[in-house]
Amino acid sequence: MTSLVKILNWKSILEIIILWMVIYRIFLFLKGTKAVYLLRGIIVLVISLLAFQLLGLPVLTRILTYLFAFFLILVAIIFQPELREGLIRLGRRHIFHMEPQIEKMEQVLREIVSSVGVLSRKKIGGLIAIKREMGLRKYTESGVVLDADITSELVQNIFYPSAPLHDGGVIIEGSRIVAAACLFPLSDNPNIERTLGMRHRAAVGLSETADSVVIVVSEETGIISLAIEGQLTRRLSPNDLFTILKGQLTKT
Amino acid sequence: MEWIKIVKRWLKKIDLKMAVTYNFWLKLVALVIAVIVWYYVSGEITQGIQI
Repeated sequence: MTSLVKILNWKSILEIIILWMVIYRIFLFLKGTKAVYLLRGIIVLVISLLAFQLLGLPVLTRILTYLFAFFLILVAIIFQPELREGLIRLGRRHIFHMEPQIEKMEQVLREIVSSVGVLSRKKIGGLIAIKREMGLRKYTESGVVLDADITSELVQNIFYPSAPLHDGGVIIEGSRIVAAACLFPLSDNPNIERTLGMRHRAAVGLSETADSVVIVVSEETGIISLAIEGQLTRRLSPNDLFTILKGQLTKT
Repeated sequence: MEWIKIVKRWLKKIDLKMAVTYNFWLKLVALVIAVIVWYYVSGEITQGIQI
């Protein structure tokens, strides 16, 4: 520990901060995907490697080093699509872009709320998840990928009862509808009203497992509800919904 | 100075409490791993120079 303090200077602190940011970004990218189990495996391997080195066990250290190299090649092959997506995202990301695009977000929310209002009036069931920080790729993979601009008409069309994608939920990321007909995890919270169906349970379930905001429109009553962090708020008007969503999604 | 105004406006928008508490454990684990990786690699480099 003392040797660590001795070699610390402004350059090393800068290096650690940059490393920290990169590792945190990788964690965020992997969170909510099946790759997180792989990450756990890598962490176990690294800890074992360090432990063997500290204990002075040269043969085990050497075997684990070989295994580690083999493992990394395996990872590159198995997770080639995820790695490709990550690199594409890295290229797209505006690293120094700090200001949230509030105006654009408001426009997106207006489209969502407008579609929810129509669904409510016509008593058409709807389930819409809006991604925040945590990745929803696991759920996107369970549905049909769309990657389309958000418009009120498109959302209504998706949930139209005889449409092929009306079952399941829609996932929204930024200003895009990423996927439709997605399967969300059901909540086993005993406090949810018995009268509420699977759609509401799915909304609460997703808001419990991810940090997403999930909108539900009841098929029977047309009531608009919103699930945030496992809490379901019911009987919202489109205006209330817009205000809450704006507050939730534009805060940093 | 326009850029000072931009920096001030940007600093006002930062919610420090939220920045620390949001994903706190993930941030902490990432920091610990960053320190371990840096310490390990810097040790390797120093040993390399000594040889």
